[in-house]
Amino acid sequence: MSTGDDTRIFPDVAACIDCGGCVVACNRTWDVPRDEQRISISTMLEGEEGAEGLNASPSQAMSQGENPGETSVPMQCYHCENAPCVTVCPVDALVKKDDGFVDVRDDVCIGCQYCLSACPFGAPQFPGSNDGAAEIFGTGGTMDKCTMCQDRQDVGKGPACAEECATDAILVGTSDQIADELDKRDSGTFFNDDAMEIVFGADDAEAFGV
Amino acid sequence: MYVEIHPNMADEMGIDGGDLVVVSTTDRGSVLVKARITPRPGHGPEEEEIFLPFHWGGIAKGESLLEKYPDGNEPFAIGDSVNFITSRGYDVETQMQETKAALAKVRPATQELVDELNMDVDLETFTFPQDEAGFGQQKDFDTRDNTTVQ
Repeated sequence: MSTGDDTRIFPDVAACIDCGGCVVACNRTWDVPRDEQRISISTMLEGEEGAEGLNASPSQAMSQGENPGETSVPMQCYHCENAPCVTVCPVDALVKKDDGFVDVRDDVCIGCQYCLSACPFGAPQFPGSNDGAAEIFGTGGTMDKCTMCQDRQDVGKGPACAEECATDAILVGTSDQIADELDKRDSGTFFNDDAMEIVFGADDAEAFGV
Repeated sequence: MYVEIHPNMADEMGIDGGDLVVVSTTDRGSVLVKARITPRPGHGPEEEEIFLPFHWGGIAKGESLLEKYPDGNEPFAIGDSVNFITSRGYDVETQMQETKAALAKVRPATQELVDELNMDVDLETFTFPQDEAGFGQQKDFDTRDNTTVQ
C-alpha cells in the first residue's frame, strides 16, 4: 500500500493476535523508553469465547449486538482527520499538517495534558513524570506520540509497526485502500460511527459504510 | 515468567494475579513463576488446564543466572524456563521431544516449599528486574480486577 502524503493507518482488529511485535518494533526503531507506549495493544474480554459462529469476527459480532469474545486492538495515533487533540491544544503545539500527519511540536508543548483527555484512542504519552500532581494538573513534560514513522515514509518505507506485524493487522494506505482491504477480508471496522468520523472525516468514512 | 491459571482454579487455591507459584511436573522438577489469572486456558476439565509460555531464561530453578551473562548482554526480563520441567517423553520414530504438554501441579510458593525443592530463593527479598523497573505491567496479572489496560 502507498506511503507518503495522505497515508492513513488503521487496525484490522480481526487479524490482531496480541503478540506485541508492533510495540517492540516501535520501541526498537525510535529508541523510546521501555515503559512508553507509542503503540499498545488493548485486549478486551480476555479469554472469553465469542457468540456462536462469530468468534473470529469481532466487528460483525458488535454490529449484531453479540459478544465478540477476546478481541485485541492495536492502539496508536491514527492521525485523525478531525483530530480532537488538535482542537483542544491551547498553544497549537499539535497540528494536522497538509500532508495528513498529526504532529506534536515539542518546543511549543506546555505539557497541559488536555490532549490526553481529548484523544479517544489513548495515543498521547507523557514519558516525563506522570505521577501524583502531574496526572491531575499536567506538568508531566512534553507530549510524545506515534509519528506514523514519517521519516521512514519519506524514504518509501512503511511504519515499523505495520511492517513488523506478523498477521498484517495494521493497514497502511489511503482511506479507500484501507476500506477495500477490510472489505476484502470481511473484517469490518470495529470502531463505532462516531470514532470513524473522527479518524477519517465524514466524507472518507463513507467508504467504510458509515 | 508466568503461568496462566483459570479464575476458578485460582479461587480454589486462594491466589491472586502476580503471586508467586511453584509449577511441578511428574518427574523433572519445578519452576518458580508468577500467577496470571485469566480465563484463557479454560477448556480443560473443570478449568484445571494451565499454560506457560517458553522463551524465558535467566533463572534456573529459582536461582538467578544474571551474573553469568557477558557484560551488557543480560536480558532485561528474566524468569524460570518451562523447558526445565516439560515431559521426558519423545517420539520413538523421530526422537522428537514432547515439549507441548505435560501433567503438572500448581502450588502457592511458600518459603517451606521452595526450601524443600532446593530452590536457592529467599521469597522475602526475591524480585525480578522487570518488576523493579515497573515494566511489563501493561497487561493485567489478574483479569478479575477489570482494570483498564494501555
